[in-house]
Amino acid sequence: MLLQDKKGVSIMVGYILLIVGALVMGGLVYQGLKTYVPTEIIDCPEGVSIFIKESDYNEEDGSLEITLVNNGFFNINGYFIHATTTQEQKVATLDLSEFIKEGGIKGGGFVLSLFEPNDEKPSNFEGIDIEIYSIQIIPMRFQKEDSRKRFVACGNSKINEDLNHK
Amino acid sequence: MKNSKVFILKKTIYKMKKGVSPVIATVLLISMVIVLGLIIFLWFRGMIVEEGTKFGKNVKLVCEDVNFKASYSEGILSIVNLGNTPIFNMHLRIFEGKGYDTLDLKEKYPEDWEGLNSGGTFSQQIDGEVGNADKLTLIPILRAKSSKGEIPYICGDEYAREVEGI
Repeated sequence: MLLQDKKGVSIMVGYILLIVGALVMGGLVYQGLKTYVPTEIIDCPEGVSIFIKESDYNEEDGSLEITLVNNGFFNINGYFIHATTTQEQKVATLDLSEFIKEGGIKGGGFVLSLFEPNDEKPSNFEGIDIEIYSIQIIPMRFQKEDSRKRFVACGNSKINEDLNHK
Repeated sequence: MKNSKVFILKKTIYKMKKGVSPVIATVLLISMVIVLGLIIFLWFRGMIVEEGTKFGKNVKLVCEDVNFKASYSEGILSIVNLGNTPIFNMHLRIFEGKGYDTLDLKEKYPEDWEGLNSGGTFSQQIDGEVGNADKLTLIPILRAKSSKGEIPYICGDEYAREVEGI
């Protein structure tokens, strides 16, 4: 009779095992499923806007002067500037940031230049060795995401400008 | 008589003995369940294709955030990444008649394709590949983190974008 009364594990140990098992399984399921929860995407605020007030292109010496105005509600920390090399090209791919002389600092494929709202700044590009027909500018900002600054391109605020050849 | 009673008692006790004690039985049961569970888990994991994560999200969800524009003119394919999701590679689908051919841009142009970071561009003469195509579409490929390291993930057909100008 004494032998028959023996339990495999005590009730307390049984409960602990059950709870630990449930917690471990819950943790595993949480880790797997949390990646499926949509999170906020890194994006520019809607009020970011920039426009080209003036542009002056001289194909003979390959110089381009543009005056940019921040007509949005937020600071802009720089911009991507690309040009088309044929009249038919719709998407500009020639990076002009490497030709910047004044009005900004050359970054890795972009121009660094701070524009506060209503700021107006001229930028000069020199030594463009290919004939260009239009320019496309994508503003960029440094935004705080999870307590660190991240670089964000504002693709929805992209602007185009056809250039007049002299 | 006395000897006979002792013999019967000993026989009864002997009959009450079990093969294994309840503690050992419980331990065996739990370990068998764990081992079986592990075998089934590993077996199923081998059958399921791991998609990986990007920015802490399932890479499938990140495909929705990809934003790019592409055009084709005078035999040149031009692409610009307008979003904030880096594009690791792209598949160009060339539709002709009822079928299509797929061109892996990274594989086909390893020297020119460097991936498309935010604001990044790519242009390439591809008229030899395109021929008399009716339609061109581009499917983004992202780089995702997985247990096997970094793996490319081809976004679904629903994220394909048509190339303008054809």
